[in-house]
Amino acid sequence: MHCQDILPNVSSRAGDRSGYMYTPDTITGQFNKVVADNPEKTALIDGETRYTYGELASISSAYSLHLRDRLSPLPGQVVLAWMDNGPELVACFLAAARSSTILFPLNIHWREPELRWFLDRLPVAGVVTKKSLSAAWDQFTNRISHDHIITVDDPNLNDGILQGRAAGPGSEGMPTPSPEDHVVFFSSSGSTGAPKIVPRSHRNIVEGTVCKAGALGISPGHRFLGIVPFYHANGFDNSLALPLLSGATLVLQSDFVPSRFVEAMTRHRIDVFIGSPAIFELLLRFEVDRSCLSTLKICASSGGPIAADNIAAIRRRFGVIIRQVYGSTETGVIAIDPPEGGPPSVPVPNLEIKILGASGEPLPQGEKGEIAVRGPSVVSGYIGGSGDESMVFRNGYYCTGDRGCLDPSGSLELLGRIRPTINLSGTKVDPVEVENAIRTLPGVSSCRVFSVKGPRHNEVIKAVIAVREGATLDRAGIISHCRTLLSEYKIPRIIELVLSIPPDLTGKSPVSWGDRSD
Amino acid sequence: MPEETPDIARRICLVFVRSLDLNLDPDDQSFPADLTSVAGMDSLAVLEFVAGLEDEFKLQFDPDMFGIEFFSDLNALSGYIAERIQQGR
Repeated sequence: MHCQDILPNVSSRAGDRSGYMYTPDTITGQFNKVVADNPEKTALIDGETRYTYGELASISSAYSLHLRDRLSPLPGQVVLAWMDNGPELVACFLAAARSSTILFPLNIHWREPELRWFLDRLPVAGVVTKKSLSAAWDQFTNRISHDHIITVDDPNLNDGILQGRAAGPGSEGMPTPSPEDHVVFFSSSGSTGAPKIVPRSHRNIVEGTVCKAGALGISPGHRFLGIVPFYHANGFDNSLALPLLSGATLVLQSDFVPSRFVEAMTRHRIDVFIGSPAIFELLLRFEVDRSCLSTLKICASSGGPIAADNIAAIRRRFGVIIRQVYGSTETGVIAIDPPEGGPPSVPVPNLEIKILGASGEPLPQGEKGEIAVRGPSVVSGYIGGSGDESMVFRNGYYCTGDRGCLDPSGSLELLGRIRPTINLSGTKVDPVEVENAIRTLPGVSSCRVFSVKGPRHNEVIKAVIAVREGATLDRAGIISHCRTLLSEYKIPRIIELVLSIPPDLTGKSPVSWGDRSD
Repeated sequence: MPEETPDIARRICLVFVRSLDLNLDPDDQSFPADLTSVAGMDSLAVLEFVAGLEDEFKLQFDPDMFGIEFFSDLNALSGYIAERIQQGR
């Protein structure tokens, strides 16, 4: 079967809107089409274990029945997924889609206060996790009973589900999801001190996936390496939804370890890899085999701006062109570099892009302003008032907080950020959240947190902390305090203790999309 | 003459500070043996650190060792690297 059987009339090049056909559907509808055409084709490879599309459909069906029986989720209730990349998380996602349940993949590095924030705001039906990670939920048994914490690698459960692959369709009694139903929540860091809960509908995901598959030319013959965590929208969109809703083969890895990455690339002849700036940075820093990317036909980076120097270095060392995939958790993909590389990037079909001025007025072509988008892959708002909706959702458009301009050909040039956020090579950190955590430490009178540019074009979190008169603070004490409230990756690496915060400390991030055009 | 472990520890501190972009003095005599006391150490930080160590000492670490516990213990790491260097001679 060819790509066009699944994705009719979709151009293989981003920006070419001719002949694009809008096909609203649910994830289950799209996945069922793939399964019907490719029942014996390998969908997943996890170590030495392979799952065909037919087997994956049966497993996800069994999972959906198990979720229903164990958790009985009510409409609007959320099932939290607390696990790394693996077939279990894939099956949970497909099961949720099948049973009109909302799945919220959580960052497994979050700490208790970070998890509690979500538990305080969401109706939670239960948690799906793994044995090695389940202890994190012992502290929440007053919120979620043991009965509602499902350990998916429990041998007793696996006997019935992962090993029992003949479960059949098994959707009897399941409500039929509609394209507008929410199916996955993601967390996104902003700049207000509180995370945003981003609800994606079936339509959001299917439309974003179909557009991206067309733009990149993804077909069922492709082989992906899925290494970016699925709890990040980048990993979920590009390494889970894209291959599995396109009929491709997905090779799973839960961590980036250079030698294992090289082994998987060569052993499985991976030809599509969509990584993050951090992964490409690490590939350059480790002395990995120069031929390890030689099987790639499509190589892209998403999750944040990748430095132009690193794109050039990867091309010199590995002979591969990295295409920047620009998007956000709220929008899915917005634009992709052309096959010969960017910038500029080419907007995907089916999205409308406007460039807005400081007062929100649309600007003429060629002028620089805030990038705003609307379309079927764009979410309509946040959950529970998380995030300042009125600031970012205006007149049907999502205002990205990124600065750019459209050239006469319709290509998008990315020029930087408008609102202060920190992007650690694809992982976003809210500076206000870190400031709030540091301010609770006795002896701190005020604090500013922002990013500075590191020597490898990376962003580094810096905290300037004003110490109260008579108080004694040191680096170890500050880090120890941060560790009680924040994940490790949010802990500042540059800490300066001062008597007062300088008035000219703007906190503006120095790393921008514009760096690509250096 | 084999390299002394204290010299190796100093070089490790230098790599640690450089790899993680920390504003710390690697020559500080009071540099702590528990590296997590002066920096957040997530899996990405460990990889950045390991890349720096492999480059500095021209050796490769077993992927199964890529845990935070091992790479945050300056004394254990110094001893291990000294042994590897000795074995390599």
